[in-house]
Amino acid sequence: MSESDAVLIKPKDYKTSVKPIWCPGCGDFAVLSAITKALAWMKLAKEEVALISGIGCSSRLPAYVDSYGFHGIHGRVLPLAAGLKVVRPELTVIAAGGDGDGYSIGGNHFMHACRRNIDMTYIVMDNRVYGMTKGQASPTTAADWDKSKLTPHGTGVPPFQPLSIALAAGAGFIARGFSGDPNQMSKLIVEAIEYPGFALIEVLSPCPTFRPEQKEWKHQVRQAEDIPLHDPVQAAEWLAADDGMSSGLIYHRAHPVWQALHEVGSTLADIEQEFRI
Amino acid sequence: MTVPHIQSVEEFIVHAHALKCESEEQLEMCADSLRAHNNPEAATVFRTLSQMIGETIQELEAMAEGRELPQVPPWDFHWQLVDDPQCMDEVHYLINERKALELAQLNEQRALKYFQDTAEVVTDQAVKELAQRLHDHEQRFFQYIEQRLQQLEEDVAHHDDLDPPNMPE
Repeated sequence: MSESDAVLIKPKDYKTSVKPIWCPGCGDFAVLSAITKALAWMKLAKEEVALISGIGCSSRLPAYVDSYGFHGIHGRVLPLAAGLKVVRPELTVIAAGGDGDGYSIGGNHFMHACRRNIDMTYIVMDNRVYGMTKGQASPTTAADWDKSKLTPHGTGVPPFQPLSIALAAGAGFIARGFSGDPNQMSKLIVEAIEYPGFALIEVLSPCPTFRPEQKEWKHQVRQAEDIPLHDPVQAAEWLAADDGMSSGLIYHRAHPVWQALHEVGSTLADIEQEFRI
Repeated sequence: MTVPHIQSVEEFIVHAHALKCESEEQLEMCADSLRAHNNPEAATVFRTLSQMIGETIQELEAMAEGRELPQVPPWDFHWQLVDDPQCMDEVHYLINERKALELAQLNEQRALKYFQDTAEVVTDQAVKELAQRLHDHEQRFFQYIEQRLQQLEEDVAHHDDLDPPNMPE
C-alpha cells in the first residue's frame, strides 16, 4: 500500500450501513469511532477482524463495524471470542461489551480470560448502569447511587474494581480510555491489538439517559502521566490509589500467551471419536 | 488549541482531511441517532451540515490525488490537545432545530480556529493560502448557520416527553 493511500482509507470505510440506535450523546458512538480509526490506521482487512459481543447497548457494536461479527448471549462474550481466537489464530479478535455484561453476568469469564491470556482485545464500555434494561445499578455503580427504583437507597455494595481484578487475575495489558477522547482511545486500541495476549481496555463511556451526571466526566478524566507500570505490585498500589478517572495505558507486562497445543482442523467424526467411551 | 508545525501542503491536507472527517462523522452520528429517535427535524439539520462538510472533504481528496501524503496516526492530530469543545455529548433526543444548529456551530469552531491559526502561523506560502481558503469555507458554513438561526423562532424549551426514560425523583 502506498503512502498516498493514507488519506483514502477512512475510518468510515469500516462502518456498515446499519445505523446505531444508541441514544444521542451516548459515549459508545465515540468507541465505535475509535475502533474504526484504529482499524484504519492498522490497515487491517475487514476479513481479518472479528468483533464479538454479548448483550447490552454497547454490545450492538458488531452490527456497526464492517468486519466479521457475532452478537452473542449475555455475559458470554469472552468464551465466544476465546473460542474463535483458538480456532482462527490468524484473526484479530476484539471482544466488546458493557460493565454489566462483562463484570456481572460474565464476571467469572472475565477473571479466567485474564488468567488464560489468549491473544485478544477486550473493550468494556463502562457507564456504571444497565442502560438497555432502563437504568438499574451495575457491578461498577457506586454504593450510594439511588436513582434506580430497584435500589432507592443505593446498592450499599462497594463497586467492582475491574482493573484491580484484572491485574490480580493475571492480565498483562490494562488500560483505561475515555469516550470524550476517541483519538487517544484509538491509540490504546492499536496498542491492545498489537499486544500479544489478553488486553483489557476499560472505557469510561457516559450514559446520557440514565446517568446524565456522567457528562461531567469530561471535566474529571485526565491523562495519567506516571504510567505504564510494569511491576504488578506497583500497579496494584497505583490502582488502589486512583479515583477511577485516570486514563491511559496503566499496566503493561509480557506473559506467556495461551495457544491451542493441537492443530485445529479436526472433522466432526474425529471429535466424536475422541469422546467415544 | 495548539497549532502544529505544518511544513508542507501534503501534511496540511492530511490534518485538514482528518479534522473535517471527524466533524462529518460527528454530525452524521447525530443525524442517524436523531432519526432513530424520531426527531426528523433536528436529524435533517445535522444531515445537511454533514453534507456541506462532505463537499470540503471531497475537495481535499481531489487535492490529495497524485501527492505523497505523510501518515499521521489519529492520536497525533494536534487540534485535539486542548479546549476541544466535545459538544456533541450535549445532543438530546428531543433537541430542536435551533439547538442542533448551535451545537453544530460549536462543534465546528475548532476547525475554524485551527485553519485561522494555521494561516497566521505557517511560513510556507502554499500552506498559508490553503489554510486561508479552508478558513473561508468555514466562515461560509458559519454564515449559513447564522442565516438558518435567524429564520427560526426564538428558542423554546424541549418538548415534554410523555414517556420519560428515567425515574429520578
